[in-house]
Amino acid sequence: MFSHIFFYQLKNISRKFWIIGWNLLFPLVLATAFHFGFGSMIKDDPNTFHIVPAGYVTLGDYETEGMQEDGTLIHTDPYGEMLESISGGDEEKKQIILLTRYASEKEANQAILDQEIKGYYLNDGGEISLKVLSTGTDSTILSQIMKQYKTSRSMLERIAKDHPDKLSEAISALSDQNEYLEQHTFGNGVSQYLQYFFALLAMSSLFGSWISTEMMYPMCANISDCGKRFESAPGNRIVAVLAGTLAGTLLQGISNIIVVLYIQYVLQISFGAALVDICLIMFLGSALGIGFGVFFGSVFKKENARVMMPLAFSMVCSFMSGLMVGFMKQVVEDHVPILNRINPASVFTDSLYVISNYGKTDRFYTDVMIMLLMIALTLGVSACILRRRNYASI
Amino acid sequence: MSENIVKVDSLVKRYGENIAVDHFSLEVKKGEILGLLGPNGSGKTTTINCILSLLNYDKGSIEVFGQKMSPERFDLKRRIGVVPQNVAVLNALTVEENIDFFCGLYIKDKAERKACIEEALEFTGLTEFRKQKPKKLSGGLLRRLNIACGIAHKPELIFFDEPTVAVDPQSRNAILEGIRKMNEQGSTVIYTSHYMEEVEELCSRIVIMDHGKNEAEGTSQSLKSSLRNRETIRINMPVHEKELLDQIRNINHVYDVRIDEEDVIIKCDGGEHNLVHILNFLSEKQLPFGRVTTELPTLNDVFLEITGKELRD
Repeated sequence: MFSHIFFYQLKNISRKFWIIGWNLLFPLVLATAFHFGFGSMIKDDPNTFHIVPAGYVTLGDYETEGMQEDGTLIHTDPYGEMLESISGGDEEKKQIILLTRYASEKEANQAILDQEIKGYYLNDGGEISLKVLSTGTDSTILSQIMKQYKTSRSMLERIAKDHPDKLSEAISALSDQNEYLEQHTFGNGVSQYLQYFFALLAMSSLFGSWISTEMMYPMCANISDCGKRFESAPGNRIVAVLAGTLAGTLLQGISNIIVVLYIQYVLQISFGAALVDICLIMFLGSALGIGFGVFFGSVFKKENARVMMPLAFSMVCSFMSGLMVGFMKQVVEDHVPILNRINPASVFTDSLYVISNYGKTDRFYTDVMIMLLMIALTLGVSACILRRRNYASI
Repeated sequence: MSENIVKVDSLVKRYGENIAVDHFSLEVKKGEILGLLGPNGSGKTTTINCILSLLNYDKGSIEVFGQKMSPERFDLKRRIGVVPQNVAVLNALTVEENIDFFCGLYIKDKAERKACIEEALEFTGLTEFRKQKPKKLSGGLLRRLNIACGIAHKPELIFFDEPTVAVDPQSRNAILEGIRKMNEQGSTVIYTSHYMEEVEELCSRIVIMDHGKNEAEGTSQSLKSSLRNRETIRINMPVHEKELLDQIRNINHVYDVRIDEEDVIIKCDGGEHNLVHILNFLSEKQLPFGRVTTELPTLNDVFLEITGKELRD
């Protein structure tokens, strides 16, 4: 029964022209539009190391470290010192920013507006924050520098308090900070504009939810007459839905890969990662879209809801991940970061971003795990709903 | 006594406050063609859906092939075929693929299935349309495809839910012939329709359902004989005096006399040679009369008598 349904669902879905249109042709057209819009910027974007001009403003007193014999306080600025150590633009020394100190925020703001710097750090008595005008690779680099410093500092403070004997070991472990920064900030230096293509692929994947609602249509008695005939037949409902889910995932995955190949080989825009890895993520994204579609298909009975929900869901998630407005994902990250962890489109684009820039890091595997969890959750909940469903009305 | 293929006992199905099926009982014997009649909303389709375990129900019991029916009884479902009221096929698949898709849910073996599909195609006269998609088919061909999808696996029990709606007379005749043939080959049939003449012609037993209840049950003849009206005589005559009508009403077995424009309509509740008696009476009175017709009761009369003449939703 499984292979029978799988085979016929493949035929049934692949012959629906509107699915081919929305899930394959539309992403191809949109990718082409993106290419004409900013494709040249992606190609011109150097895939090499570059220095980020940054500013530094200190407000109030520096941190107090101790007192001299004459009674004057010893002020230190460890953050400033760290910034100085990575400033200068010497690749050998992994110097990645060009630091300029400003006396006030006003001056630093003006420098940003004059495009002299990409952003500036504000040290307010030890409280460090970052101000940038726009998001992108440069602001990510600046942000990562600050995050790494804060994490290291917090860790060292905790160790100094709880295990002072292990402080020297900890300092040694964290000493090669530049190496960390290199790994977590520069990556391959893939263009920020590629983010749009990632969001496009996320949208395309989530459009897979249409495939699953369409796949569910002839198999549920409360949705269609075909469903009544189907459920009158002997066969496990869950097995049938699973067969359809796999068929849908395969079709959506192939569709996504065609879009990827088109972007890479026709539009000549490199993803900066091994194609096989990108393809695997495409299948994962497809399963994600299909999983949400199965969930919608098992929850919603009305025709309108079954069409509108996947559309609304795909578009809202894609918007939040930066499809229409590039910095939206960063805005969400700044204000409601949890949304980026639970928005399937954001997780999907992040996995592509990470693998393209940094390879298979922990963050990449976290993204993959979140996606797998979402797939399991949507399919699991749907299976529970479908298994328990004993129709009260059809 | 032949075995029960379907046994429904005091079935109750509610939709909120509304009772769709109200203590409905039914027995279908092996080899029967049972006609299930009832106005729209009388509970026919709900009852069928309950028998098929597509719907849960509030009270009562349902047995199919002598065993309790439930959604997980795949062994029982395997022996059942369903032809739903609306055409239930996949528009993206061809005629042949549709039959194979649904047949494949019952029969795993490809060779066996192939033979069944060929038989179903031939049976429904769809062989030459096998590569066409449903959208290209006429209404009659679609109905035939709907049937082919329900019978290809050669079920022992088949539900036909109004299979001839919107079908031309030729296709309807072919469908009815096909059902009769399937019955001759051993299938038990439960057939619902609004077409009384179809049911009368096809079904060995009829159940009339209304407001979710089993209102009457029997052969076409026994249902008709349950009516008071056994014969309706219509006489075209110019004289319509009340006194004359009263005299006609006093003739043996006449229970109702009415005037319909130029005609006098006389209803008799039994007896023999009623027409002769009435015509003798008119001759005796030297009353002129024209065209005379006589009608025996039809299943439609039985249906309207039981379910009433008011319009339904």
